[in-house]
Amino acid sequence: MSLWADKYRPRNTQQLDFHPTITKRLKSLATSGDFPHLLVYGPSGAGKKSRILATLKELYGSSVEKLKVDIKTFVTPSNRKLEFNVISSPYHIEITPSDMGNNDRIVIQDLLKEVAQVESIDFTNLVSHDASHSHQPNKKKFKVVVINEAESMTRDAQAALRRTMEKYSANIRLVLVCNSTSNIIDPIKSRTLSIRVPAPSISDFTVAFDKILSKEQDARRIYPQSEADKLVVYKHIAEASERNLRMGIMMLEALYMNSDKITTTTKMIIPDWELVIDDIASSIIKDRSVTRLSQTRTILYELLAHSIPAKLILKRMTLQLWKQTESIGSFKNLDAVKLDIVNAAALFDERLSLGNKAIFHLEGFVTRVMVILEKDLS
Amino acid sequence: MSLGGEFKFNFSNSVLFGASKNEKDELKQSQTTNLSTTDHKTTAPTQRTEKQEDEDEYEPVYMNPNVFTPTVKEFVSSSGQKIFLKPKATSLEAVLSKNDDLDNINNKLDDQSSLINMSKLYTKLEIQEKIEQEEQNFKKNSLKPAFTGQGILPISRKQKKNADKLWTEKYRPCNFLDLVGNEKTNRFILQWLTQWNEMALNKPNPPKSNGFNGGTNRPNSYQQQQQQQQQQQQQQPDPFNRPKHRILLIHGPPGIGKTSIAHAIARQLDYYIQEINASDERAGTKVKDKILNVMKNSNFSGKPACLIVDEIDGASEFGFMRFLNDLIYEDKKATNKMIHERDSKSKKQKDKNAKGLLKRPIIALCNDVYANALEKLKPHCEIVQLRKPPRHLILSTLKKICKKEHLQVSEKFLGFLVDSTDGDLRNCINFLQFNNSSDFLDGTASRLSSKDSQISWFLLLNDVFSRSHRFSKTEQFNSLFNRLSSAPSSIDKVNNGCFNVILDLENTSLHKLDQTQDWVFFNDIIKTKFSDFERTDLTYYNCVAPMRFFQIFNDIGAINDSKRYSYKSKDETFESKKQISEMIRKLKFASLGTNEMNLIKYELPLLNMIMTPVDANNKSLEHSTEKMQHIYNLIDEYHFGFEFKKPEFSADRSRIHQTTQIFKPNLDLCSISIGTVDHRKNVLMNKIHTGYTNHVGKNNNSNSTTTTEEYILRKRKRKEETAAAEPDSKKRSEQGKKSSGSAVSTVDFFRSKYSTFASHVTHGKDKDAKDGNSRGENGAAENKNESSHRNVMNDNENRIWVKYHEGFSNAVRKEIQWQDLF
Repeated sequence: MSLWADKYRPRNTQQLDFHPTITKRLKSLATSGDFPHLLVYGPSGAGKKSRILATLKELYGSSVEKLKVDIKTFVTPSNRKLEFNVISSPYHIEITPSDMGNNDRIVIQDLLKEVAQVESIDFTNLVSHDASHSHQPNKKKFKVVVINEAESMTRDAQAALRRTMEKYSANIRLVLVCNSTSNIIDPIKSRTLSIRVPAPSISDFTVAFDKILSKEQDARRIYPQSEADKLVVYKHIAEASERNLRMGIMMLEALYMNSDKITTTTKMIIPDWELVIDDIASSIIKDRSVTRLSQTRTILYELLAHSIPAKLILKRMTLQLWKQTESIGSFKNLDAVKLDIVNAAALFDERLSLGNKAIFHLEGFVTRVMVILEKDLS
Repeated sequence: MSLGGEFKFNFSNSVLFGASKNEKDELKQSQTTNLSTTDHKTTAPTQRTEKQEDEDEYEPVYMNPNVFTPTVKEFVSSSGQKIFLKPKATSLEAVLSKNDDLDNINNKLDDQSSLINMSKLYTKLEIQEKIEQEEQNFKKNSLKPAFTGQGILPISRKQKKNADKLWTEKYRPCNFLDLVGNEKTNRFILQWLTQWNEMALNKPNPPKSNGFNGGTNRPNSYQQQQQQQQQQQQQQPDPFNRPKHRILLIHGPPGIGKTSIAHAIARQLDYYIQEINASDERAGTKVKDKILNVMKNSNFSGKPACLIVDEIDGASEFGFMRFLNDLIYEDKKATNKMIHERDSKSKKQKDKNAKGLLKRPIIALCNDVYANALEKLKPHCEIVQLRKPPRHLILSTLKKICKKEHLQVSEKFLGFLVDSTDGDLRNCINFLQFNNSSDFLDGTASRLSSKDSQISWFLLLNDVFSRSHRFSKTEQFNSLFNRLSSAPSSIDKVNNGCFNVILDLENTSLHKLDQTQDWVFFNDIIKTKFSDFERTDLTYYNCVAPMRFFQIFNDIGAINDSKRYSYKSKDETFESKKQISEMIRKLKFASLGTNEMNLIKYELPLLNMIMTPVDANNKSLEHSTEKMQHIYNLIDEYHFGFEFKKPEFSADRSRIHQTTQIFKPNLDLCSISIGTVDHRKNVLMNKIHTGYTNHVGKNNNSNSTTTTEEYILRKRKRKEETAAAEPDSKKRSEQGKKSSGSAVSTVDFFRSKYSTFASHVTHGKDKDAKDGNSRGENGAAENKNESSHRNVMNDNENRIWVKYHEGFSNAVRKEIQWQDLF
């Protein structure tokens, strides 16, 4: 028993609910015997990983679920030892090279080569060679390497991947998983079959939620009985979770744990860091002064201390400012203000990526926004 | 010995050295030319130089500094031939024959190469010059002490008594009462160490006070007490009543007295202190023998040793950490074995000399508790954090020292000193000592800047913002610029300081702040480039941002002296960031989420909501077994543990220090609550914990298939525990609800209880007074209400918890009557 998101995760291709065309395509790929390098991309929580795992299961059978976690050590050229987690089954390996930051190239070079150079021999196939299995000679000859967060790999690592993909194509197949392909270099794109997994629609959410609630009787009791109300609640959840299904299911669970009765007016659970940022945004609009700034500073420190990436803070804040300036409506030139805010956000976003001191630039952004607002109002 | 004498000794050694080399050459010669070896003392400088040229021809094989020993020296050559060297009087013949020898060789050389070896000649010349020089030096130096040495000596000896000792050593606290700050933590350390009494000192342990688990945390309700007892039962009772975690790990920033505390407390309890620090060789095997020796045996003083491992986070040597881990592991094994044996024989046989048992306390000290090296050790450690003592305490300590040393120092200056060292007491004392001779101590801060670079960043910062009357702005600009660019190492600090200060300036405004942004960014970029690409040529631009600050903000009275620069908040930010990233790493490893970003973004907050649902409109949680079951399952799935939350050291003195259960890893960390502690959550957590322990107990009872002895042992304990807990559980939940409701006003709660149990209480009161007296005799440093806790606890019929806090420290002792509490 675990979180619902894990508990009700589709295990095989039959359980995959939405995007039937993609499922069908993957299925036919798995049964065709050969298998290309894949580049699976789409927003998080759309079911990329589930689809890949289901395909793998189709390809190799249930033994891909026998996962184990290994810790491999690598030595950098500067003689530092690095530890790296590898999740593997007899047939596939899952790695997240971006864990290693700038050293991901070494992981790609060492680990992939190591895997690629060993030809996997399937004994069951050998034994029953002349039996019925002989018509799929190519099957299971290769291992699959799943690379998570492929877009955050460095250029070097991606370049290291290029040649490996061709040279050892007899032994390994790569599945790159990423949110967007914009950071993937073209040579890799051209070597892979790209599959886009879009975020599920609201009706997809409904199907998934209904499936879960039909199995969780206690929770079913709490959610509204009437079909129409239920759909409204689902819609709320889907919107609050930005159509991220995993997040949506977790929210479904959190709502169940937190309330006695869920109605159409039940407030969605928003992560507290978002609430805090929204709070900053509204307070900036209301009160533009140095004392407010120093209060904001402590909150920003707090946020950063909670490992919330500075860019995420900036993004959320900008969006909130955008929204809230609209709703207040006391600005003389609303469009100009909004434009200026977005300009400032762009400027400080650049500074955040170039510099090191996140707090300086976040506060700089807040100051700049205050100045912009002040200028318009006075 | 005077200086000159020493020098002479050295010099003569160097003469010796040359001679021995020559001798070696001759040894070689003797082997080739079959001449009898002769030893010779070279005394005449001319002869010496002559032989030095041999050195160029023959590499010395080895050196023997003992040429002048009067005994016969014996060498064995590579061919097995024995050669005897005798301290023989130099005969003219021998010298002559040797000279011949030299000539021969010279001739041979000349034959081989008809050209004159210029480089050889040149070196020869050089050597000669050097020798002459040295001789002159020697003469000079040997003369000097004749005049001065005698005179100086007595004076320096006199000074030695006082001045020799560093003040930091001199004023190192030597007993418990001398320690500055952190009273609670100190007491906790003391308590921890007293738990070793039975094992190490052959003294009985002091009675286990309720608060063993904390000088830092104390149960403040009946319910929590119950839980704590449960917990204590749960962990295996130690046959020697040693503390649960065998190693005490103290961490904190430098210079706040970690080492001092460890030493002072160990000394207080009469331990012999064996210290191992970073300066010692800490590679595996070497230190192993040392420690084992200390830990197993007693030394001549008859005191048992207490091992203090200083600077443990610097112990990069892998072996050392592993060895400590082995020590703990073996101890665990031995203890388990002992408990088991005791159970089976049903006789209390305590064999202290059992193999592998840890018999002496170990205290480890470190700065960074999150260091990788400590990863393995941490689960076995009782971790205690020392914080910087509050400013006024440092100040008063410094004042005391100044008084003792007859130093006239203004308080303002001391304040500056404390701030500039970031509350590093040791640094402050050091500064005082080494500037005490100069008279500038009572001077203004600006005069200091030129003297001491250690604190100058702070004064530089001051100069950035405060306008001087004497100079024009341009002049000041130039001087500041010069000073900033000449102190590249402190610019970073100045920059951060500027950032910390600009919001509090008198003349600050949004527009001014906005104007600085570009330069702050510029500075950040320069720094990034500098650290990433080692562009040292860019350091010059470093001081641009402070100069910009100067330009915009510098004004008379801009910076307010009374305002304190908050160095603390930043430290704490990093501390908590480290904690959180550690937690994230752990959870990620437990394959909770896939992506770190997603984990931070929504999974953790949502998980937190799922595990501890505290939404206000959720009243039925306690009654919904399904929901509780779901939480228990999640706890199992993700291997969460429970631990006591150590109460925050808050400035808010009135707040009652709450002891609560938290998850381990602490999910709570990820939620940002700017405000007060959520009371509901605490109650809920306690409930979850109780429920979970019951749940686990039931599970264990139902499956009794496993047969390992240890497991049975544990199960038996659980059974007892659940049996004990069962009848109580109803009562407890009721109590829990009440305490949650009454948390706002504990007094009300007790008043209602009082009415119901009035008779019992009066009964208890008498008892109380009696026991209170006896405790007073014991003189334990616990306040009285604590003793009353225990007494009421003894009264099994009705347990009422009273907690009384005066101030934030329990050190305050006050006579309290029951009337005062109701």
